[in-house]
Amino acid sequence: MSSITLSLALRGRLLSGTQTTFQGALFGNSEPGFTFEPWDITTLYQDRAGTTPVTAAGQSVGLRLDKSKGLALGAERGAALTLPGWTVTSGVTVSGGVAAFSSAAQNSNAYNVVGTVEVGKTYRVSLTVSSYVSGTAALLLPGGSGRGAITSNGTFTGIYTASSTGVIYLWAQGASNNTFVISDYSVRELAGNHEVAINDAARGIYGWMPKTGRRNQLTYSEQFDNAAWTKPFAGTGVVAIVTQNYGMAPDGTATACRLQLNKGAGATAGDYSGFQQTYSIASQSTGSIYIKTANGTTKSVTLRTNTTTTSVSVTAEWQRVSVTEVSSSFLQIILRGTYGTSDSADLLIWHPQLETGSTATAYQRVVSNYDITEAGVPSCYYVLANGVNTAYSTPTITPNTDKVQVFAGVRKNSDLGSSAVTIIESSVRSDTTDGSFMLFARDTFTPAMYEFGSRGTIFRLAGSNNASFAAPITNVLTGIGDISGDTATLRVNGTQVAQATTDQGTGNYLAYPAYIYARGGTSMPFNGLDFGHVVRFGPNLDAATIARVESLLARNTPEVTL
Amino acid sequence: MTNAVMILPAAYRHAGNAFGVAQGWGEGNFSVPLSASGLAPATHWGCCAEVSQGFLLLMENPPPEAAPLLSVMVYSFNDTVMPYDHWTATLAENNLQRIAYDV
Repeated sequence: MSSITLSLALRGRLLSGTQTTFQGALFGNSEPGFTFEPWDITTLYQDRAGTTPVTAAGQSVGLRLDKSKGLALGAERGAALTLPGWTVTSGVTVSGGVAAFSSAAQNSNAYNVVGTVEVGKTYRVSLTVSSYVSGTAALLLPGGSGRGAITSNGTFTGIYTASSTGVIYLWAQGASNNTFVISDYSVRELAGNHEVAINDAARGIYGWMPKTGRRNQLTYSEQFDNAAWTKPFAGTGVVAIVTQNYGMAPDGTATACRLQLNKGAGATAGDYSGFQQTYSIASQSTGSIYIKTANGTTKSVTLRTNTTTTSVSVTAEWQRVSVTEVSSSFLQIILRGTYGTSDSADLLIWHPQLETGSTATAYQRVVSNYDITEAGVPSCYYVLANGVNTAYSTPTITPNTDKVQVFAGVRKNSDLGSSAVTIIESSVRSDTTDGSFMLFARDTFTPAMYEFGSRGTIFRLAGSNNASFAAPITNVLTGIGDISGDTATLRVNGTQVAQATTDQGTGNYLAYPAYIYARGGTSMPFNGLDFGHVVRFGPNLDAATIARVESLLARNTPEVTL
Repeated sequence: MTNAVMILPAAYRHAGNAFGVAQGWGEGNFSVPLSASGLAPATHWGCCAEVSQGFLLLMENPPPEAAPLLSVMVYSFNDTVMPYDHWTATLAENNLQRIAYDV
């Protein structure tokens, strides 16, 4: 296995089953395509320009590096600052291994025809500024993208795709008086078809959850002072007092929360003091929490998730108490005049959970909707597509083949909304564009729960409307397209569920960008989680290889075992 | 991070997107067509995004050039519910629907 550098936020957590990439198995012959491997956080950046790495759950993801080409760096493209032949504008000199900007006007620049980049290729850029006095430094690729807005000494990096072929510029962006020295710079191609968010609003959200899936529906399960926890009170009751990390928890850490409830002497239903978090589960569900008294006394409290009141005798010893009801609206601890509870209680609480089913299962820590972990269970990493406008695209990919294989580990959050839902599609519209494909999560028009489409000059669709694939559900999907073989095949969790074998016309898959989570980057949005995907243009894979790729994705996809 | 839903009348869409470009957020952030009936033409355009504390501060103390936009913008911030739920609730509150696609 390859190693990765963990951010502070990730250290100490179990990684999911593998960091193995698909490079060797699928792309060993330089097959066109791309991969998204969210378990390797080093491939993710918050901004679309690749300047700020993703380090924590809940952060937006603007750039996702494709590992299918091994993230290989190409040869240096920038002309050395010691070379002759630099063209400079007024106020700029290149000599002695540096480019000096001295009181240079806006848009002053230096370039050397030896240093060029090519349209559509992605480059890792770095720029070292020293002796900074004023102004704004930049390194720009033709078309205007590049690392800019530099207003201090230091080395600055970014990842950019050239929008045209041409020379690399060292540039002054400040309105006037640009005075600094560029003492080094580098521009090297970063191999791969990297996925960039369509715009900032289109960025997905990074997160992780246990391999066994999310069960605890509460949020902020260890942050009782968060506003998600409310403190209802009325009559003679007073508002609950919460003190984080007050006492020793069952695991020996000082993480138990003190909860002080006081309903007063009132004896009516209108006299209460409670503590709760609201979440509705329409089916049988169980709420649970570890509880004891903080002062060694024994108190009677009520635990509720809906209408049933469960009286709990809370002692000086930790116990995990639970209540199961036909449905739930909240998890609540309450003292109330008509429930026969104590008038007041000084409690310690820990590890609350509200889940579907009749059993309180192992606790899951829910820091936020994007940060869920369970002790002893590997985590699976994902990017959330919000079902509104999350979308990424790749540069134009030239397949030079009529065969494609598409793999994705996804969770569909919803089947509602738009009439069709995009996971991955080549071209802006594959059903009407020759030489393209699509993997969709839902299509009410066809209809299908999942579908894979392929088109040479005629579009063919393989879809399954099996109700067992209705959202919410997590699956590993495989789409296999073969234009000359006249097959479009859809597999779900390693089993073929649909295949079209009628004529797809002629030709290869053609040169288009791929769009992820939205058709053309703008419509038919996917509402769900993406635990990783692979697109490969190349010869048909044998059954064992397909199964191996599906198994690799399954290891990183919750609730799927292959 | 906080989820933001922002909606502009159609007449302000281009100004909103231009403001986004000026802020370095890229082009076309207001990309979702909306109308009361869910049918074209779009009367409004919206977007849904995770925003930073810096963005929230910007909204509290907007630059003068943003004032015309903010005066007509519907915006909602939420950090508890999932983005899609936040989006659908905000559309419902404003009697708007996403315009369906031609499939």
